[in-house]
Amino acid sequence: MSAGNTLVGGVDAVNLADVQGNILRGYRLEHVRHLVLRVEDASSARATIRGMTDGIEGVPSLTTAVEWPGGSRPLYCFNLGITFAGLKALGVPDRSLASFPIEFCQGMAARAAKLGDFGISAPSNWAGRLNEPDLVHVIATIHAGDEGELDRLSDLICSNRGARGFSKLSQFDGTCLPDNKVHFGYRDSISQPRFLGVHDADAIPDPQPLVPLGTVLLGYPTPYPDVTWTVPEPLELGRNGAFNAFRVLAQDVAAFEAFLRKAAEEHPDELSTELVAAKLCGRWRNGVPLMQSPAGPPPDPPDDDRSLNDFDYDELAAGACPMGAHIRRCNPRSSRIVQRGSGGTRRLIRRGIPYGRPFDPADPDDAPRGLLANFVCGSLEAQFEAMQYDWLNLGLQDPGISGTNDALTGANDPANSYFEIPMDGAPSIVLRGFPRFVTTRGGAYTFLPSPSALRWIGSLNPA
Amino acid sequence: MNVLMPLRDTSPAGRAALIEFFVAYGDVALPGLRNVGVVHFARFDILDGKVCLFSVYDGDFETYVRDFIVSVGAFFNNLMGFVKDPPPLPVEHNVQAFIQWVNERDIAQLPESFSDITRNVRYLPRKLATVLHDNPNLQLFSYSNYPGVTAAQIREHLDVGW
Repeated sequence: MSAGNTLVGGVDAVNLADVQGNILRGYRLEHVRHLVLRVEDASSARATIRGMTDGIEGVPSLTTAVEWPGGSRPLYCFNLGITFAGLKALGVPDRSLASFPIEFCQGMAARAAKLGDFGISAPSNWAGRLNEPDLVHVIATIHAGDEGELDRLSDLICSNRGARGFSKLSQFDGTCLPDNKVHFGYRDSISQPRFLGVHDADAIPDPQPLVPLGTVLLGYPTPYPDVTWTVPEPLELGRNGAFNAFRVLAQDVAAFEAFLRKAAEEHPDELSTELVAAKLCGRWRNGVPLMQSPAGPPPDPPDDDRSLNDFDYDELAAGACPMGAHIRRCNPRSSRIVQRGSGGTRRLIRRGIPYGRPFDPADPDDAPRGLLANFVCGSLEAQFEAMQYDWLNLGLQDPGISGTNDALTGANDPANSYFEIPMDGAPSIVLRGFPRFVTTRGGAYTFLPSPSALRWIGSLNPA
Repeated sequence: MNVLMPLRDTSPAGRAALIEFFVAYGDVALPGLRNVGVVHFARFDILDGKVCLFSVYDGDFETYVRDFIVSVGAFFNNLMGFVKDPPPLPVEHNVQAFIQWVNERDIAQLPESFSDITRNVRYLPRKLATVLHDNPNLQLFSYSNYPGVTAAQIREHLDVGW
């Protein structure tokens, strides 16, 4: 959840008890573990899933979107995503399976070319057996303030000689860095869509319109007027569900810092390392947007975080924030874009927690580190994939950046990478020769079923 | 995109009805494609009893077809009245089914280049053999006078707005 967002009480647009808790808000618990599970015994696995929704002792309880009493955080939060292979393995009937969208049925690995997952990022190189997508059935996610909780809950599902019906293929652990930063040093998770009927538009100063619930939840109006996504059948299975792109994204911080230094050294009069970092992202590393503070030195962070989304892009001030800056590519706000019917339609929920130890510039290393990311949306194809392909890796939204990849996260090759920094009243500066800073180490498309849907799955009784 | 949609009525009267439809709605509806933004051109023809849509666009096929629906969905709903085995309608409420339907009627494009083509079917590369078996129609080759340039970049250079 972005800074200062509060859920509006008494919402009748959506039954918060029937939505998994990690969709409409973030938990702000320090540790996360994603368990990659295979269904070994469908009947036992269904019983375990029933236990998760009905509070059976010895099974972690599913966390819903219901407000926490008194606002106090629980010891842990627990959520479940199921792949298409997982729905099949759990015995979901063919007629229901056929009602899921094709990109979900094919799975993330099959969509690799579209997502820029080639070369070193190709699915054949993925870690944690995510390179065997047919075996990846469930991704169970535990958030906790205390690391011991992660082990305790993992044991409830995975030990006991498979009595719970699942075997563990791998786990991915992450821990928040101070100030909500990612390894590249940027403060993350500042801007998230806020929903009509759920969030209070006036709670924070943010000129972006509230988005319809169908941006993430199935069964509600979508961001496109008059267009609906097909809700998987039966309604009990599909409604209040969401799709998730789980990604393990390795970050090469040493290469990134070296590139910032090199760019600043080549343009000492115009750029500093921090200004280059800000131009690549659209925000200074402390989260202040370029549109609020376009020139160096780096601004002080505001007293009130809630102001960090109080901006829009002004075409006349291209010198402030390049069209190719990461946050502007992903969310052009009210900028004019080529796909003019698609402006606000590709917004999605991002939830990420870093993995690996922090990078120390005084003692640079290449230890594994990165982000365990989740991109939640109502349509993986219309939102996540369209953003990844057309906007991040092709730059189709603006003729000035078409043919270039996102400098921060794109599938770049030093032979042709290109980032243009417009300068007010002077020729643009072009940065070239940078590599991929982010490599995909794994991923899976999952469905985040509602608690009702999990009860439905848990109660299946295939012949 | 090269979509072939068999006509329900291929008689002269049936084809006249289609002409009437395009005269009445073509100029009204198709400028909506400006909102898609990535289209170089789109044309409709009748070939061998099929109404054909050929278009050249930038970016991804699925994104393009979806944006097409969003911009000119009503036009397509009406056009579907002329074709055999139409998709579930209205297309706006059956987006994924429509993308699938279009995909099934789109002429196949050859997969990555083949270095060892042979006319002996026993020795055809497996992937190519599969494509040829499944697809009587194929796009063999295409040429661009401005490779790698988007429709929006051309409009920008011409100073006609994008």
